[in-house]
Amino acid sequence: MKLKALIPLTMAAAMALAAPVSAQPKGTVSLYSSMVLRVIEPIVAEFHKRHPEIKIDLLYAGSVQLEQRIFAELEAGDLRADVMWTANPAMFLNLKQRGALMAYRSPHASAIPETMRDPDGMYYAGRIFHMGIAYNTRLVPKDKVPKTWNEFLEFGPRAATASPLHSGTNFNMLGAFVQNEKLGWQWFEKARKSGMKVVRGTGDVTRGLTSGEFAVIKGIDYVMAAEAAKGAPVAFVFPTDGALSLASPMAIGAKARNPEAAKVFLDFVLSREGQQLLVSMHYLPVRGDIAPPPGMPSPSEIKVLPVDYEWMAKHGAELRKRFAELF
Amino acid sequence: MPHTARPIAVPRTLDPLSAALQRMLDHRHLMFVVLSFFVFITIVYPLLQVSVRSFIVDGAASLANYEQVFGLRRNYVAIWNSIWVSVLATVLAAAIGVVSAFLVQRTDIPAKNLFRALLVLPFAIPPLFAAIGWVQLAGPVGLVSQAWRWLFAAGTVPWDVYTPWGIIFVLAVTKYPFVLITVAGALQRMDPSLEEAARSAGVGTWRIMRDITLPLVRPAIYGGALLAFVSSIDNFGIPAVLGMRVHFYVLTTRIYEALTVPNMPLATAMSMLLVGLALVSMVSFRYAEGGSDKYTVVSGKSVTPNVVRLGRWRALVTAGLVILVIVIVVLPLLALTLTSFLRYWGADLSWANMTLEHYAAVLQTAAARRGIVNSLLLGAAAATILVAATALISYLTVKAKYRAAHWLDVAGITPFALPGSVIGVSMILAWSNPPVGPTLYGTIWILLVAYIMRYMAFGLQTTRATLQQIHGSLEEAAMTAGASRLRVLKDITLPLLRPGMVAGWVLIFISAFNELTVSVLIWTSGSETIGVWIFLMTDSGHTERAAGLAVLTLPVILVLYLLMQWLARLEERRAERAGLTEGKEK
Amino acid sequence: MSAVVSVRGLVKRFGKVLAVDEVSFEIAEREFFSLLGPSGCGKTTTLRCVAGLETADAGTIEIGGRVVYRTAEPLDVPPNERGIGMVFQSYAVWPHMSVFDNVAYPLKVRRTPRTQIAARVAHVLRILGMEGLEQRRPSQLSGGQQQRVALGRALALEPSVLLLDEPLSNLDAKLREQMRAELKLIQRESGLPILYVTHDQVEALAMSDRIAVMCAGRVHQLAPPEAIYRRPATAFVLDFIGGVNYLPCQILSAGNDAVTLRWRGEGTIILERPSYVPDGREVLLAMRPEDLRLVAPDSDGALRGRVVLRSFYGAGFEYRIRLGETELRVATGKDLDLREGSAVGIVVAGGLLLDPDAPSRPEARAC
Repeated sequence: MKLKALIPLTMAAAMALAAPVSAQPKGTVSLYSSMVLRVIEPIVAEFHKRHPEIKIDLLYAGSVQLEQRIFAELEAGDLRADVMWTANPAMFLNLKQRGALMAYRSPHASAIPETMRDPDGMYYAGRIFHMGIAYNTRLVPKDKVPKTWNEFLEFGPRAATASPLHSGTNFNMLGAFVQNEKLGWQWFEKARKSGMKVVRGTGDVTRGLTSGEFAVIKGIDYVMAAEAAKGAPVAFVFPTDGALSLASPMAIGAKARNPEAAKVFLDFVLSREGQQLLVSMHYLPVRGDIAPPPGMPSPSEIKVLPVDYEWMAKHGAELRKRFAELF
Repeated sequence: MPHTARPIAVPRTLDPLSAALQRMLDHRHLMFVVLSFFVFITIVYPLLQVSVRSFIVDGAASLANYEQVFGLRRNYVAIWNSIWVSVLATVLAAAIGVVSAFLVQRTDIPAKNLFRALLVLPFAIPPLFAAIGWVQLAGPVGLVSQAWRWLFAAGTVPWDVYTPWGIIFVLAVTKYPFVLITVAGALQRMDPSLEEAARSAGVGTWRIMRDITLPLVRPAIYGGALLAFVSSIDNFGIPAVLGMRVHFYVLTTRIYEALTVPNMPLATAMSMLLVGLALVSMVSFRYAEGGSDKYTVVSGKSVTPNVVRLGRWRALVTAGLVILVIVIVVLPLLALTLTSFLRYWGADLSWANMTLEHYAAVLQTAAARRGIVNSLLLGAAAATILVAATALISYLTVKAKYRAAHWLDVAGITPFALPGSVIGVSMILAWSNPPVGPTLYGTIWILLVAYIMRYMAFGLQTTRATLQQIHGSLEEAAMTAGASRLRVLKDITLPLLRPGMVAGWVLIFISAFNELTVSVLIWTSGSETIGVWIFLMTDSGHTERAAGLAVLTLPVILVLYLLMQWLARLEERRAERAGLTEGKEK
Repeated sequence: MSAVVSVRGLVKRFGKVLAVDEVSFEIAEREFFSLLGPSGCGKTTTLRCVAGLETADAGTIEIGGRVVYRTAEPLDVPPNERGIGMVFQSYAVWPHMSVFDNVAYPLKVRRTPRTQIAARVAHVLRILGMEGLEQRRPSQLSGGQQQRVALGRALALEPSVLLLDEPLSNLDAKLREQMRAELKLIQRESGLPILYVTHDQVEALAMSDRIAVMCAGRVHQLAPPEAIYRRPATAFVLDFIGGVNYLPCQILSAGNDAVTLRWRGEGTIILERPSYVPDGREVLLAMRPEDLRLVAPDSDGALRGRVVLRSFYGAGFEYRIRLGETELRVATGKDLDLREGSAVGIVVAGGLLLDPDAPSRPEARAC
């Protein structure tokens, strides 16, 4: 397995050395992405404007479905993605260990903080988003908006979260809480007593909030921004005791069929132009040299709950079991 | 009396070898071999691909996955919940299905065709919307709940959808069309003299229903109920949306946890429990069915089913049916339609909040338009292939008494109990890098193969129920008239089986047309389907657009269903006209 | 031997049940041959073996001089190659075909030219009085008409033998009688040999040239109708065919021409030329209702009884007479009109002697 993974790597390196500057990569890039269509489509369109010689074959699916698909394809010995871009960092850790990723030193690497990329160049965060507190503006008056996770629990059964057993983002949130000294399992035990609802996925919890069934939820910044744009009475706050900051990593498959063109796409997303596009869609940039979207705090102002993904990978089963017993 | 499988005629005395050769050429053996190959390729091979992996941990054979499944108490609770919820939902679904089938098929209520078409529609609502639609209606802030509170000036409503009972109700009102479609077909073909005999004996209508009609359509009820049961036990969306927040888990919601990791071997191990449950229920249904000869309703005597005159009950019964249709058909559809017009989920019902932008967005998406075409073609292709194959399988098991063919029956119904994700993964494993044959994964054909795997049960159940109703003497008469077994199949059995084949076709087509969980795992760009788009739009926060697309598909399904009804009636009428004009030989 | 159908040593088992046990018979040209017996006696199974719908376990079947089944070889010609016509109890008229298509089907299967088919079907339908109904669907026909279609279909091919499986049992009484006569006429005209299965003894007696009475898979008697009725070979045949009365008696004296019997020490019965005289003293006397004559209660040599039930049957009366512990059924002409409760004398004019331990009670008589 190791040897196999090495071959394309060295080949790619050789090609990169041998390729004359004029030889433009072209052809089709197969992109597996769980970035919502509203985000990924403009990016692909903009990329195509700049690189008409490269066609992006986009396969969009939810994070969970995409992961099932990627692992099933690996199992069958035929991972078809040139570029993968999903919202679950843990998956990329796993893929790296399996040797399913191709190392690439992007020229943009220096502009991206080390926490936002793999030290071996296996993956880069292409986007970040946050999980914090979202509330229904009709049900929660300005002065009652919860600022901490403990205030969040004061809403009792009118507070809700998606299940970490069914949603990757919430699983990471669970890990972040458990690893945090102040929150920990006690927070979940308290939540259980207060009557906090645990529903299936992000969709259920969001619909519950917009329809007024729930007053506050653990929400995702860009999802709430989109609902608010439709006119729904929702808003998002970063809790003072810590929000979850999640990178959405991007990587090139070890057996990519068109690795050169894949690199061009990866570079585009990481470039100033690419990140500026994401900022215009209310995302915080992954690069340090770009201003945050208007109205959003800069990354330095946000308190982030740290997550140790390797620890989570080791204790994942335990976390799930304990949560399932609690709820 | 049973007639046993028998070697074909050997006109002259032959040596044993030639005799064996002759037997090989019997059409039943040939059919069995071809069908076995078909079932092996479409079901057994992908199923093996995925199930073998549930016995492998870190590259070595192990039962660790199963230990993990059976070692947890909560999994037993989930199994038990799955069973009792599905049993009650099936009972309720069967009651709704049987009563409504009887009313639209055999009584003199007005606008029967309209009722018939409306009652089939819930089947066309994407399963994803069934649960959230009911939350929208009867949830704590649902439309019906609000109306109730306003009407009765009450603070609370006397129901709660977030209970096992809510799950049972929603399962029942979405699964009853299985029973309705199969039973309506059986009632249509039933010999009314059987009822008339009872009536002339002075038995009342209600008792006739209970003592004569009901037992006679029992195979059809069992057939439909089995499908309703298995699809209840295999349903994920409804218990997930309604049960999880009150900590009520069933097997599928537990399996989903394993799929989220994703730990496919563990999910498969748990899915094997579902398959086990489905097989046990299938065997018990088959056992309850008893001998096939007991329920031959289409006897040699030909009849036109008679209509029960409801008399003074007519208005009351019609009113009851209208209420039923409003509650289980119109309201969910209304919720779906409203969603597609509202600016955001849960917005107040005011004109300011209404918009057509979701429809515009759907129609502007080339992929969504492509999805409609793809789904139509794939649904029709899967339905046609399956109906042809399952009609022959049921023929072998029911009519030709070909014992070995029972494995086809069992294998064919198994995948129906599997969660869509497991089927999707088995498809990737089987067809992404097959040892021989074409690489289907990455093409649109993978979807066709997946639908064939998933919905073979529908074809088997409907054709089987119909064949059991056809009296053996109709085929024997053709044999004594000089027709070979193959000729009998072509001239007598298959034409008489047509109503069952049509019912199966409709069931398969509508299900495949809306299929979501499998498709989402195996589609490729260019091969989008409606289900894929509905899912993807919901997933990226466009629930309203997804609803819009779903609403757009309703007329397609309705038109198709009406077309089928119209064709059936056209044929009937042509026959009648031919009878009246006493025309010349064709 | 000009047998059209010949069945020899036919055996058929269903699991452990022996449904047909060494049955043999032959059907001659132009013969109307019936298999008669209660349900479950194996008559239909025998018929289905002849048709080829059931495969026998042993025996030989020949149709039209050709062996169609023989265990030894093994040889089993399928039904479609046996050259038979068959009518089923349930009619088995195909609901998806018109009358014409139903009747024409056997001809079409054999690739008969269209013009010939049309002519033959028209001919058959004319015989059956079904002209003008060619394009009707079976669901638009009455039961009797459907039965005719089934018959027409069986006749269309001019089969070597016509097999009929209780064809009239689904018709109402009047229609049944009418069809019975028609069937007999058609058979006489066409000269077609018929193998007829029925549980209705009246039907069998009225129509058949010969009858095989079956019970529990065995043929009890094979004879013309009169012989079956008058000279039943076994207690079962006696009991199954026509009404029968039983009276336990003692033999007083047995001569060459007559046997003198005594019932309960009070009545004396003289039976002339009995076909069989049991060895013992205790015997059972079996009498048909028309073997008994009613006379004045004080007549000489008459047994004395009392009328318990009087039923009028148009052509006459049937009385139930109480005689000690037994009840006798007696058929009379319409001139003898007795009131219920009145005393009456009974004279025995004929009957059969049976061993007293020969199955005599209805419950024990299941052959």
